[in-house]
Amino acid sequence: MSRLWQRPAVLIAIAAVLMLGAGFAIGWVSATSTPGNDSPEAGFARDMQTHHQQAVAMAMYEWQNGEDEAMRAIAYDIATSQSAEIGMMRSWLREWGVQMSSGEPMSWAGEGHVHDMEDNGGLMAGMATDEEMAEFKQLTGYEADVMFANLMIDHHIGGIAMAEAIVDLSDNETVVDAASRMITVQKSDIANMQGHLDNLLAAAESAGQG
Amino acid sequence: MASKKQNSSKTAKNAGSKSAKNAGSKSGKNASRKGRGVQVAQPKPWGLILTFSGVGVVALGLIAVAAFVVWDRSKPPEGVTNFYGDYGSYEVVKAAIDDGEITAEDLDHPWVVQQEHLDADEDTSNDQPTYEISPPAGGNHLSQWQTCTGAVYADPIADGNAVHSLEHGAVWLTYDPELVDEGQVSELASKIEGRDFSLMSPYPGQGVAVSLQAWGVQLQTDDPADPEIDQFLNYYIQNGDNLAEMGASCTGGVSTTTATTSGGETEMTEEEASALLEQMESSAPAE
Repeated sequence: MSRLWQRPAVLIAIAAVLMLGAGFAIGWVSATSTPGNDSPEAGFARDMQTHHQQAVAMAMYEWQNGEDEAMRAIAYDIATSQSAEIGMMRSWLREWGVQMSSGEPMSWAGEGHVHDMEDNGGLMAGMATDEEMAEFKQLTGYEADVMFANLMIDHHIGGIAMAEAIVDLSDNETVVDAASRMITVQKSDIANMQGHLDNLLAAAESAGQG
Repeated sequence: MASKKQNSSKTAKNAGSKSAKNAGSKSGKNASRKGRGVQVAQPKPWGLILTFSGVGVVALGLIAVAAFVVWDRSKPPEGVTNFYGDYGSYEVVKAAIDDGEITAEDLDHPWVVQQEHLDADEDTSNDQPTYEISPPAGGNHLSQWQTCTGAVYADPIADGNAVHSLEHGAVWLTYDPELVDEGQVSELASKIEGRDFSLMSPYPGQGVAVSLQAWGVQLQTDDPADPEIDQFLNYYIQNGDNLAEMGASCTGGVSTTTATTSGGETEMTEEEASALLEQMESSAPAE
């Protein structure tokens, strides 16, 4: 053994082999696990699915029971596009080999977001309560159109805040690109829904006066 | 010389690998300062030895950590009963059937691949499905799923609706109200509330404090604080190898509860069954 120490070349060779092994090990882990189970990207992909699920449920109801063609078209658009996004986020999680679900919603985005959620009755930003959903599902026609617009505008505002949080936190190109697209789309949805809502309210008012 | 060697090796051991880098850099500095000095008797290059030992330890540590991370990633809890037999998961058993290697009848529990809606035909006798195990963890079911967006039901729900939720990739937590006290129920509820693809309901007569069901698998425990409950939720909710229906959602199901669920031996009368069915059908569209 003591002879070994007299040959620095042997030491260097052993160290080099070990470092190479360590390098492979690190590469192996990072190649198979980017981003990790506790990463903001994985947290965003899980939580945004939950958030989207409710939007799809609201939009499906409006598509079936609403009256205003423009509002129903927006609802159709939201239901189909957010369903596609749910599938996209699920396949990210599967590719990354991480949990599909976690018991700690919004923890990826930091304490502030978790507190906001607690203030919102345990719901993520912008999500409707069970009571609001139950009330909405009693409505049809004009009343459904109005409540849908109000619920979905709030829902989108919350969704945009979540997407902005991941854009700040992540440098994963796929995730940041998708989140940025969500922000753009949902902002334009809000403008459109607000426009149609204003029209509906104005029309109802003039009809009431006439 | 011999005693000196022993001493220094002892100090090296005591100092541990952390000092290895320091030792290395110190000897390097000394060497450069005394650049012109001629050393006759070469001492053991302890600095060099410690440096390389340190590098070796760090490298082996990294390899071990990497191996552990990959091995530890996504493991099911130990106490799970798996009804897929040797096939292990829905993915694998389905692939074997699709490839013609086996048929469903070859399985010990053929219900892991039975996914029909029993209330879709004219035969109404099987509209309250019965199951081989209780609570059920898969099999033919009703056309409506139980809403499973982190829903906590205070009363029992129909097996056939809950099994449909399992098909959608949800985990169903059931507890025996006689074996779990109120505090423990709210403790369990806090794990489920708001967690998409999970649902919880009492299951009188199940005979074990807590039972967790995902499609084709089950975990039962007498301890409501068992850490395996969280592990099961984390592992099986929407598990990619265990999805009996990919892409399905937990919103838009029924939220009906009933106090007359078929818990164990007690069977419903036909009247009760049809009343229940009517109640479920009428509440289905509006939730």
